Amino acid sequence: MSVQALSALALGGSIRTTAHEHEHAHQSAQVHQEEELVRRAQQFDDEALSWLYQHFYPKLYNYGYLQLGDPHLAEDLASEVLLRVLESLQDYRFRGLPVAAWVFRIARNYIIDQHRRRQRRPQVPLFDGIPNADDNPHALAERALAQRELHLAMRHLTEEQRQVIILKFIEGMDNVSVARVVGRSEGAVKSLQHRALVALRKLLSPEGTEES
Amino acid sequence: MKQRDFESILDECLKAVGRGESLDSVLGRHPQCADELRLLLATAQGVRRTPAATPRLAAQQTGWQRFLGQAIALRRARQRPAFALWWRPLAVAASLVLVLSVTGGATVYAASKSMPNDRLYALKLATEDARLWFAFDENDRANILLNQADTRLTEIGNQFESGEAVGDNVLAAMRHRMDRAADIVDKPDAPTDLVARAGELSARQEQALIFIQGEVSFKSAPEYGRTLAVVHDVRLALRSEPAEPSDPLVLANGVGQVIGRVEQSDGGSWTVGGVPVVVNRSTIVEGDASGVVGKVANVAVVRQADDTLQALTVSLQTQGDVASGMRITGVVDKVQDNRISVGDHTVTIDKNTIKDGQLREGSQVEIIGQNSGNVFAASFIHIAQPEEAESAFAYEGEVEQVSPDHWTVGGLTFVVSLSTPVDAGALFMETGARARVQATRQGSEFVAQRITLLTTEEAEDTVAVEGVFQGRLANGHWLVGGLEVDANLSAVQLETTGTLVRAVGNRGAQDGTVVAVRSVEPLQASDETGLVLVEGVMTRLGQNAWLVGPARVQITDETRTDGELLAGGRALVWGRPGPNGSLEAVYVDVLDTQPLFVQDSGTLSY
Repeated sequence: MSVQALSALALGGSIRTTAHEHEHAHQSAQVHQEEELVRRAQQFDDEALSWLYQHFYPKLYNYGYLQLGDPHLAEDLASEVLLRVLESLQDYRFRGLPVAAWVFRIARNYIIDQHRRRQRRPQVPLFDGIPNADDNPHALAERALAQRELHLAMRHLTEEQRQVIILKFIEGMDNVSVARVVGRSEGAVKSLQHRALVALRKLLSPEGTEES
Repeated sequence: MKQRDFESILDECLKAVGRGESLDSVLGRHPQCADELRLLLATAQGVRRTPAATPRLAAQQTGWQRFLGQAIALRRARQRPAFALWWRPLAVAASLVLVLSVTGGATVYAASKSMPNDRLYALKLATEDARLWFAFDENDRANILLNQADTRLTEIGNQFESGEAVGDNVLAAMRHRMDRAADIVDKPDAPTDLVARAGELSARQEQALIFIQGEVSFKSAPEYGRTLAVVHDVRLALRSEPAEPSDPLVLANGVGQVIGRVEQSDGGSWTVGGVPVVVNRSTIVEGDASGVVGKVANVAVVRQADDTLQALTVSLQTQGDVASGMRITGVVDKVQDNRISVGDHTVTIDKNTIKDGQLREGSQVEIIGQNSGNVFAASFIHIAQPEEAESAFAYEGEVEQVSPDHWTVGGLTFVVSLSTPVDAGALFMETGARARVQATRQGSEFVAQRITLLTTEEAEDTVAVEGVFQGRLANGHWLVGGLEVDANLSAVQLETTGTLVRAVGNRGAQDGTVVAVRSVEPLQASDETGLVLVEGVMTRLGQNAWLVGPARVQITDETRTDGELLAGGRALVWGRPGPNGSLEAVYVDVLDTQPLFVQDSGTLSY
């Protein structure tokens, strides 16, 4: 059953719910479903493992691509992080947060390790995305431009600001989960979010682009 | 306003916009800072709308294999999970009673005709489950379940034929039914005919699942692995030998094929055609397993977490087996209800034949099947698409490099996968051997469809290409089966496009080509039909009469041969229908210079 269907079930009895309550019910259903899947993955249920991989691989790839700017490094990140997730699955304890908070915390640690290594052995970042065979060249070019623009702008943010922008606006995580990934308080996340958006506004506006 | 207050307002507004509230409505609640908020909210929306970068499928699949490998290794340290959950269909059947009472029979009738991608397919399955409620005898239940599992196999074949990806639902439905039938059939007092039927059906299902693996989507791979595991385990269970259940995660990676002479058999470690394979309690060995060393084996293999190849099924062959279970390639001359004519062969088709397209006169086909009397019974038929026929070629050269993903042969690099069949014959698979690669050009890549190792001796830099002559390029080179070849040294210059040719030359990497043609053999004129390619082991029937695979082959004065004909060795024969149902050889490519089998004239029954 999909998350939407679970949410629909959870919401079926109360017609007059507010948008906030609706969102909360949706999140609860999602978290509950994830808890069940992780529990099954801990028993090495192949369906649950397949979900874990297929759900997070594209997300981790996008997360890696926006920060590293290199499709090959992003592929490595997605694969390596999922292997680490698998290895530490037995130690994972459910604390009411989306599984994504745990997975992206591992991903962030991986990126920090990579940055340390790259500082020791600098590499030239690549921007040549690897197109899929069925991509339309025009759509591909537009998508690549948008991704490249965002990646370039984010290079001017601090590491924590970058995490907040990606996790909140690309991955759609809530403040509690973002706080868990970056190891800061919810208040600090709001503050980082504000400063990151101000910086991005300057960088992504036409004037800002020229300046950068 | 305090900084902290503004951050909270911004956060609240971001949440509201994220929930779908309009910008104006959100800003209306905070007029004092609306201008600043508007810019920041627009920036956040811009970030949200940035399209996600999408990973390459190939990278995702490679990562998935590593992930699976690690999962298997970790799981082995723990107890295996429960083998099967077959009670779920009962819950579905229970809900069907409600559906029937509400909707009546019309919907159920419509559902009975539905296919796996139809909306009513779930109802069809549930209707089938409900039928089991009224079968009180266990053996009746098993028979019904086997019928239903057979229907699922037909549906899988139909999906494959119409070019649709084989879906999770039909695979899972087949798995559940076989699993439940096996629970009954596996009992000591089960009737012999029921056991035989389950054995025959599970063998057919396993063969079909291996054949269609290329059409199973990445998403459906786990279900594919589970289904193949159950089908294989049913076969194992019916053999009354100690067995270990198969691992669905391993099978989800796909099944490969290794054919070759058994070089060594040390307990569970075998070497087949130079490839080490593990034979264990999950392996089914077919044929006479005594004294296996020296026999030719056809092995279905799966790659385990530690990269070793585990044998799923080993078919030990005798010369007669090789002669009866072979492949023929050619153009369809005539299509009738349940038979087609390809060259001189009458090929029968029944409901168990799996095709990957519509058969039409003029279709280029590759058929795998069994020779039975005067007809060839097709198990699988691959129908080449027009563009595929144009970009398909066979290439022979020295094996220069071998890796799990690529083989380099005669200077050309081919993409391979575990499922690319490798026929090692009596050879050891290693660099320096000669190989024939049947391949197709897909974009800028050459994808190997089948690799056959050859024992024929040629100069190191000799290569050969077989394919359709597609024309002359501006630089004077030819295009043969999608491959550019340099024909400047060839005494014969081809003019007619559409001619099937075999060009032999030197490996010369000049001007981007890999073949510098020395000689060329036109095999089939563009307007000629009825030529068929047969591959198999040669057995001498008379002075100029041979049996090659399923075909009786007549050598004439016009026949061109490459190598000395040798009883017990393999050959490829291009031929046309001759007198008395024989194949008049146009061209014979001898693949072996030493026999695969020790000749035993008493075993022939053709």
